Amino acid sequence: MKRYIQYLTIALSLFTVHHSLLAQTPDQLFKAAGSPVNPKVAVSWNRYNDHAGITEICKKIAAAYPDLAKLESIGKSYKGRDLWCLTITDFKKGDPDKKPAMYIDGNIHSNEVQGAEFSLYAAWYLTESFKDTKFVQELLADKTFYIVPTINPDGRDSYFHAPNTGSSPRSGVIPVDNDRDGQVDEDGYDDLDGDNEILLMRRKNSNGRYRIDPSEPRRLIQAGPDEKGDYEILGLEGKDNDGDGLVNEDGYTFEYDPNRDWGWGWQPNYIQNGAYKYPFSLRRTGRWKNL
Amino acid sequence: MIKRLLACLFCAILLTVSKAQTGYSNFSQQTTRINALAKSYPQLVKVRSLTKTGSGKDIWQLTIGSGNTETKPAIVIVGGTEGNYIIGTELAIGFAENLLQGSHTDSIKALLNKTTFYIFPNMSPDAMEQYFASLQYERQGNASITDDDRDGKTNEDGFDDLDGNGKITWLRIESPTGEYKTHPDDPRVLIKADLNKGEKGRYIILTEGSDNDKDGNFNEDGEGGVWFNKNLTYKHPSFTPGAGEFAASETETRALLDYLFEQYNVYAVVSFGSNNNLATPFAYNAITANQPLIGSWLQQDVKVDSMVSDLYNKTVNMKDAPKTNAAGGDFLSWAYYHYGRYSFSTPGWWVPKTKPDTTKGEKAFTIDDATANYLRWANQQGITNTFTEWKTVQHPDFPAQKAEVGGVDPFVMINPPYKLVADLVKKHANFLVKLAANQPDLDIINVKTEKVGALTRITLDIINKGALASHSKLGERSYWVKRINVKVNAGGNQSVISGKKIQTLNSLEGYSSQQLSWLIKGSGKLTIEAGSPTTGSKTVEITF
Repeated sequence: MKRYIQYLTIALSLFTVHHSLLAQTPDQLFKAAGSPVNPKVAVSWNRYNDHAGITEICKKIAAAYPDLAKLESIGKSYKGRDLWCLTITDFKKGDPDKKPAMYIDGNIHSNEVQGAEFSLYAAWYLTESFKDTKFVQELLADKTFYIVPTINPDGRDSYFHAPNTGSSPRSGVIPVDNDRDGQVDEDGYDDLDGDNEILLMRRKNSNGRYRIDPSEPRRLIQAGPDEKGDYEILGLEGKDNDGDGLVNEDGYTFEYDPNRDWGWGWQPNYIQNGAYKYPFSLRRTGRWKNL
Repeated sequence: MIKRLLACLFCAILLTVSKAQTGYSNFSQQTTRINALAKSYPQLVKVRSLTKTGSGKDIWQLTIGSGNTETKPAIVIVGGTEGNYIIGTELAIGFAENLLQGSHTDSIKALLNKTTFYIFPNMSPDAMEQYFASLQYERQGNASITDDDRDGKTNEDGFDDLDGNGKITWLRIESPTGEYKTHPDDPRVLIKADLNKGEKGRYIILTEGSDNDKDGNFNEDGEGGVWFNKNLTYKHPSFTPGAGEFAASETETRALLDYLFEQYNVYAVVSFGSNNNLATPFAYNAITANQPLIGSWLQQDVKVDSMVSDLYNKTVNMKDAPKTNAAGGDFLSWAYYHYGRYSFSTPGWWVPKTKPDTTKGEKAFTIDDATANYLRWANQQGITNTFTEWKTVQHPDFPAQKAEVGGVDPFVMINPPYKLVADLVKKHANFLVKLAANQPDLDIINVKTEKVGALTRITLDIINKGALASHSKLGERSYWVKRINVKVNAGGNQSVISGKKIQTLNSLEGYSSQQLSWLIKGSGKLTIEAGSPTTGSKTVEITF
């Protein structure tokens, strides 16, 4: 980093002193720290991608750098989406499966979408930087990266495309009988106003403890101890679909937590909320690579 | 030539016949017996392969019951939780045979009308085959290839049949640092020297074999992969040999768990293996039962265990059962703590405590020891050929020391002589039938209607007529156990004013009831339905 700054300072001083040196020949360019300058695979990192988008970027990276990246599906999600794994290493040097390796995955919770872009960025950065960065060349000669951008593609797509709150779903989408009445997912959220969002419901109530914020009428604020409120908050958008007196008690938005599905110290749902049947019980089909 | 051929053929026939009658069944014989039941009783038995083990052996499942078996409360019976407990597989298959042979009787017909049995006779077929192999040893691991000592090599240091008798017994080395000495009452038996009493040991004991990979450990990484009874999720003994890379790592474990989790009608699981809470019930321990990582059975469930244990002991009538502590990763614990069902296990047989035969000049043992007791019992029963006399061998790892191979043979202390099996099967079958008679059984009684102004109040009792609770107390915590669901099916001109149209109830203890009531507007008829997969369902029609 320091070296880059030094280079930059020198470059900058040269630039200011000698205006005539603006010409763009390779020996006059200095690589700045950060993103690759002229990537073969063009990706905009200022946005999120659904699973199809992630898939496309994975495929492009693997196609552009066949000697550095191999793409394989290590299994299928419950809904049949591929769990993509990019193996990043210098395939021309050594046996990739015998080099010390790092495993990276993202997006284990459906609503934590950025993890997929972070993981994918690592793959993109390594492959794009290889040609002009000695450190990356050495790194990939010695080491292997197994990168699974999203370990939870069903939840990811559901988060982007289905009506949701800002933080739902957090889980995958295998149906679970949350209220143990023998039916699954019979009473989830309902997008009552059809805007593809699950927001709050309020009811006018002279005994309510909320009132409209005078400085921002869209907002509700809590009434003070000696103030009268105008509204009560009913909860998240939905109705009592199964008529059991409870609203939204068995929907798809929290079935289980994929991050309670791993081997070490596994405990059942009643001890560690979100666990499913046993470690790795969320695996559906296909082969999980022995990492 | 033809004579000789005929003689051979005769011998072969004699051998197969005699084997079927006088010995334990190997995997292919078990397969034949299981599939024969499906052929003989097609109305009552469905046989399917749950999955195949790594060596391609089927994990068989028998579903026994009449009509729609899915909708009836069910008992799961599992044998072969440990590959060396061959008796457990016999008890499971034997139960099925026994039950079906009686299926023409009214009592068994009635039983199969109200109870379903899911039987998994053998969860460790790979390991069990070692009993029938040319080299016999007590194996529990399946066909997965494991690196038990984590040295990067697999199966590089297994047992070695040093005396060439086809059985893995024991190796003793004379050594001043040995911890073992001979039993004062039976010099064939080795026991630990008691340092507190100033006793001095004379032998080091190892399992029969040599240090094939010269790493200083004996027989630490032989053939035999993951143990079913160490591969389950409750207190999984991670990183110990046989436990698997993680809990439920094995195909057979996962297949069984996947299946059972979706069988909501199962209220009890009975398994046959080393663990025992049938002959000796669990005791309640308030401290461990109330830990967040629950360590012992809940109070209400301990009561049920002791009731069922009583039933077991009265039925099988065997004394001096071994006390056991489930070691973790085991099936008995899983079925209770993680599956939320009543879970029972028994070894099915154990060596009775012998009395000295004074006519032969025997005296009571000065030191209690299982092996010494076994040898005396075997002698009294006229059982021979289950002890290998100590014999000196030239051992490559102990060139300058006296090394001897011998000791009690594998399997014989935990599996009865085959002639006892038929009686054990009968006793255990009786027990299982009696257990089923205690199953949770839901009914709706005391239905009352009364006018309250323009409304009608309906009151009724949901009752459990069985001795077992609708589900275990622990099961209340798991969403894999379904609650009793009570539903009011009101007509179009009726509405429920007070009380819930749909509600779920927690565990309803044996012989107990819960009263519910509703206020209904309107008139005519409606139905109220109550039930859960473990209790069956009842519907009442009410006119008001």
